[in-house]
Order: sequence, then C-alpha cells, then structure tokens
Amino acid sequence: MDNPSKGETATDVAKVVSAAPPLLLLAAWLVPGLGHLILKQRLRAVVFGGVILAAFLTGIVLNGELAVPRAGAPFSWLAFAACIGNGALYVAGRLLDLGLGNPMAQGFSYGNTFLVTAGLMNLLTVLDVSDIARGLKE
Amino acid sequence: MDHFVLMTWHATLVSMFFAFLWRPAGSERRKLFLKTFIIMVAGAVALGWLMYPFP
Repeated sequence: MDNPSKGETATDVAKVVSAAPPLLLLAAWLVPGLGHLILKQRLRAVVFGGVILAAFLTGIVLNGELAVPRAGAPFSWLAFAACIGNGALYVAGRLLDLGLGNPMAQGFSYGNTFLVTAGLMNLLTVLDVSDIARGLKE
Repeated sequence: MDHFVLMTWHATLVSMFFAFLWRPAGSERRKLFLKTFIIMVAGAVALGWLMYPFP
C-alpha cells in the first residue's frame, strides 16, 4: 500500500486494510440487503433486498430448482454454489419444499436462471459489504 | 409464458442491481441502468434475429 497521504492517520490506513467483521458478512449473506442496512446504506439495502427477493421468487414460481450437489454431475456443484448464495432464502426454500424443480415445466430453465442469478447477486452484495466495511468503498 | 417478458424482467432486475452496486448516486445510476438494460434487451433481440435463418 502507498504511504499515508497528508492528513491521513495511521488509524485511517489500518481501517482500510483490516478485515470485515465475519458476523457482518454472515448477516449480508443470510438476508439479502441486511449487510447494507447494518452499514446504514438504506437505499442500497432496500434495492438489493428487493431485487434479489424478486429474482428468487420468480425462479420459484417458474418451477426452477434450488440446486443440490450430485455425485457424478460436476455442473450441479456449480449450480449449488450459486444457489447457496441466496442464504436463508435457499434454506427456507429447501425446508418448505419449494424450488424442487420440475424439468417438465415450461419455465424450468428460466426458473433456474433466476435462482442462480439471485444467488450470485447476493454473493456480490457480500463482497460489496466487505469493501464498504473495510473503507475501500463509500 | 412470454419469453420476451421474462427476458425483459431479468434484464430489469440485473440492470438495477448493477446500477446500485457500481454507481454511488443519481444520474450516473440512471445512465448505467439504461445502458445495461438496453444492451441486454437489444443485444438478445439482435442475436435472436441473427440466429433466425439457422435451424
């Protein structure tokens, strides 16, 4: 890292390089938008939470599948990694038997796309929360 | 089920997400949203037309 510029204290620099609190990241992953809400970024929290929830629900309604890893199907692991990004929504969906997926349904592929997109967007919000908490972004 | 509506809905959500993720405020956000949305929708329609002659 560059030397602290004029007016920048050692504490400021330490803030930038320190790691984000794990509980904050966990909260950001579990509930879409919660990480930003904790960081007092209310508008972003509402938009991210709303967009991710909307994508998730669209995927469920279209009979998409909340992917689970399957032996002998390496791509299922990728889909799982993306879907688990939905956090508590993924867990709730599995517990409530939503998102079991119906390959015969017309919207199955579209539903999968929405579920994967929602999970990946939520993972990006976790990274964003990490950046904001570390002082790398406003 | 209307494929175009689903594609537009997907483009709307993704564009909105990235506009708020990558831009700090107001007009910059709107610009990025519109740019991303138009590229996604128009690009998909153009690609569809290009693929039309193929079986």
